[in-house]
Amino acid sequence: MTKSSGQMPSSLEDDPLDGMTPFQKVLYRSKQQPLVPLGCLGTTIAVILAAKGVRTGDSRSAQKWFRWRVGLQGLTLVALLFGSYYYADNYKKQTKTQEELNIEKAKMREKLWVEELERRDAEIKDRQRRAALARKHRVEEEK
Amino acid sequence: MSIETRSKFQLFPSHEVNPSPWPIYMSFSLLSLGLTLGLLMHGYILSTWWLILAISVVISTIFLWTRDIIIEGTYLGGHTIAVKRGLNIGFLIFVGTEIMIFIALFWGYFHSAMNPSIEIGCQWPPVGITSIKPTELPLLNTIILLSSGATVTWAHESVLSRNRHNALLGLFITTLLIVIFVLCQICEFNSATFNITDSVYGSIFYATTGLHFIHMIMLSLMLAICTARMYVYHFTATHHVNLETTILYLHILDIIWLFIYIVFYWWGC
Amino acid sequence: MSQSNTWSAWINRWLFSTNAKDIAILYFIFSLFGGVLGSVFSLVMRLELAAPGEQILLGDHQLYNVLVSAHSVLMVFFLIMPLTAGFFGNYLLPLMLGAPDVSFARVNNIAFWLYPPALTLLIASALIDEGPGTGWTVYPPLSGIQSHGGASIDLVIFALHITSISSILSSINFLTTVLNMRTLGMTMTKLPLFVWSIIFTASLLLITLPVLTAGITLLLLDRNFNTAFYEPAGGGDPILYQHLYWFFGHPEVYILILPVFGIISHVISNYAKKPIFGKLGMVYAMGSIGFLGLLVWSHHMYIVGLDVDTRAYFTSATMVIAIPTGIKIFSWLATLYGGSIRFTTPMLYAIAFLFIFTIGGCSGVLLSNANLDVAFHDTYFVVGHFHYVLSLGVVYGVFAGYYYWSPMMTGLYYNPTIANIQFWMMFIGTNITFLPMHFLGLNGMPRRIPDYPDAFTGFNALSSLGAVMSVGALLLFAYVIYDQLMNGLTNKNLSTNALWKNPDFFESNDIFNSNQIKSSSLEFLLTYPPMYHTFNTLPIQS
Repeated sequence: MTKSSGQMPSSLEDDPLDGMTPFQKVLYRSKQQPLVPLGCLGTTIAVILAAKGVRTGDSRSAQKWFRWRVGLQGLTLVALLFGSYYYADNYKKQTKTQEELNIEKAKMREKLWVEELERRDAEIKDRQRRAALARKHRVEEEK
Repeated sequence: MSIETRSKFQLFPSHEVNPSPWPIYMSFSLLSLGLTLGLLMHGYILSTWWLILAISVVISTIFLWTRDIIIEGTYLGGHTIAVKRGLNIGFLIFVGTEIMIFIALFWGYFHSAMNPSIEIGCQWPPVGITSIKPTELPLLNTIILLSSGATVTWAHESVLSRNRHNALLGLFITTLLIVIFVLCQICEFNSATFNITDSVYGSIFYATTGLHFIHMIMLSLMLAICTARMYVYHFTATHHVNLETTILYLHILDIIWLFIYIVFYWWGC
Repeated sequence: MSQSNTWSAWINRWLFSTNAKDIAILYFIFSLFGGVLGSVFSLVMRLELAAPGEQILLGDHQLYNVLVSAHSVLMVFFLIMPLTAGFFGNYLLPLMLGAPDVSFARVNNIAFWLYPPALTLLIASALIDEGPGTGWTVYPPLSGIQSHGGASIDLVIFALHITSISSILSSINFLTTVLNMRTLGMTMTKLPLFVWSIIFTASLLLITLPVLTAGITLLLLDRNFNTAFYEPAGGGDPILYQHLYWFFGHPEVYILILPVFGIISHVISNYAKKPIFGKLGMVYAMGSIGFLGLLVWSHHMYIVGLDVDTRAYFTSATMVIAIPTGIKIFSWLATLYGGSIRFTTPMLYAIAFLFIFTIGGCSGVLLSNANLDVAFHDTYFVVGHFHYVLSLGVVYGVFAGYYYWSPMMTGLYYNPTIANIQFWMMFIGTNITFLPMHFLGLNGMPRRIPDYPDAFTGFNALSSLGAVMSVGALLLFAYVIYDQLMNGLTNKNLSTNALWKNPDFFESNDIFNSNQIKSSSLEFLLTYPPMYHTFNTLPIQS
């Protein structure tokens, strides 16, 4: 509901993810929890380095990077879980019952509808005012 | 060791194997598998036992072939440092192709998910599909896999530092964890509210997680074999190609699972 | 020796073989089978198209489609791939590296022995039910269960699976061999160009074949297990198949052509008596062709409804490939320039390759343009283009390679006069076959049709005439091989045999007569044919 008032109100506005292209969504989530993609990247790099160790027959370095990969994956997982609880707004909403959601949505729509009616009211009044003005002008011209 | 130094010890660092019947057995058993499957699916063959027969021929050939490799590597001393490195390189390249298969499946996933068509209600997951919650069984699975990574690293460390007891224990626990993962996946597949025929979502979901699942079954067998070979003293601190490749395979499959978990369970939920 | 002993020796040598050179010979024999089948199918197609109306297929248009599919799959998967990577790769790669054998000898054997089962499955697919009338691309929905209800598509999919397994295994083998089994002092920069071409071919195969396998497996699931990957009713998309397919399919054409680049480099360098011009540049050019080849797959899909930006990208990316290709062509020309050129049969093929491949490359640049491709797509122009680069380019390269290395491989020499006649027949025949196709395409004749309007009669008749000539050239090639095997030793002393008989550009006759070693690569320094175990001690590269 923080969107600018210039747009037409719609019942689909409650999720910031709506109206985004999938790519923007990914970007949004990555910005929200930057540790998750970074962790994935780190894990992958660790495994690649471990594979290099295996290839050259250097078991010690492979062992070191295997440890890194377990650690980094653990971190990624923790970041994922922590992040999703921290930004739980979206998820909490989903845990509400369908009825509550429906009621909420109905209230939201009612509110929006009232706003919409007020806006239309204002518009009608404005039009009437301008019509009156125009009429006055014509009367003056005819004189 | 550089190639120049190596040549002072052994004229041919590579292992020239004797003629072997397994390749040709293997290829013709694959022919039988392909033909049986193709004809079975269209009602030319009416009994699934032929398929089971074909699969068992394939598996028994794999068994006999790997038996030969184990004999050459462990008892005949065919696996020199150069050969071991060659095996590791070959396995790494093979893992690369496996990753490409998963990339193709992810491609399929994103192709369908990024732009869901009108037939599935322009949303992902499609209308009417209740996706699996990521914080339930899949989270447990992820944690199981992570701990299997930890235990297998412990086993690897124990092998390198010549601690047989810990290595055996680590490998055993890892095998057990992978088996538990497989069982959890079976539970998850059984309790899911959609199946592989439920729109492209169900199809791609089960194709990818199913492929990972099959790999996990393979991995549990590989780990069981490693544990057994460890138990009968096949591995030493410096010569354990089978163990090394299995460990690497586990780690790669773990990472693939991480991506599956993030993309299929978190993002696509 | 008793009968059973000879038999078991024979079986050990040819069926249970773990020797790369023997397996290479098996690949060669097998690819001759594949080539004969594919050529006969193409001849039948050309005879059907020799005149408008039903000619020899009695109006069975599905049969024509099956012939098209079988021809393409046979030529790509059962002629060229076993011949370039399988035959030349297996024979020459260990020799050029100075390695005793390939890295995984048994895997090498299964990589070959997977081919006959795959061929069996392919032939079975054509004989069962209605046959696969889909072309080599096997696009759904045509290949879906609604359009091809029987088992034939499934068998084709299994055949492709098995050839994929085979190619992946042999690629793993080659790469490991190159990375791990180079001889003393053979650094990566000193590798011959053919080895480099095999490295890039193997890498491309390893990157793209799993994607094809995944794509056709999903198609198999769609057909038989009611999934919806390519089924719009379930939210799937047939375009996904095209992406997955062409992500493999485009690199596949580079997989076919790259080993030939390597062969041509060797032939030209040898018969111009000069080291190849800009060898490192050639390596990087091949590398960039391979790399760019992975990024341009959608230029096969310009008319499926991609958006304009995507098409603009794929157009420009495709055109960029002309640069490394140009580097290669100009480097070959620079190698020829100032060389002491000897027009032996392989050299004739190599020079013809340069000419033909340039023509095919130029029509390729036309096709890479999305604007023009809207008109060219699915016309005979496309058929003409890819036959110029594949049927002429690759096949000429393979002939060049055969004529160049077969005396070394067998110790038997072909008759150069017959071989030259074979070259000219081939050159004239194939050009008469495929040049008119460009004009037919420009006039709008669509591909994959068994019949056409009367207006196209002239060029089609000419093309069919050329096809008959080309088949004649192939028969003559069979005679060349026969003659080589039967009279190989007498052919060696023919006065027309120019192989290794003239002194090098930069050496005196005196040096030439006393010096036996005059080759830029290792394989010619061995006995002809090489021993069963090639080296009794490892060779050392200075």
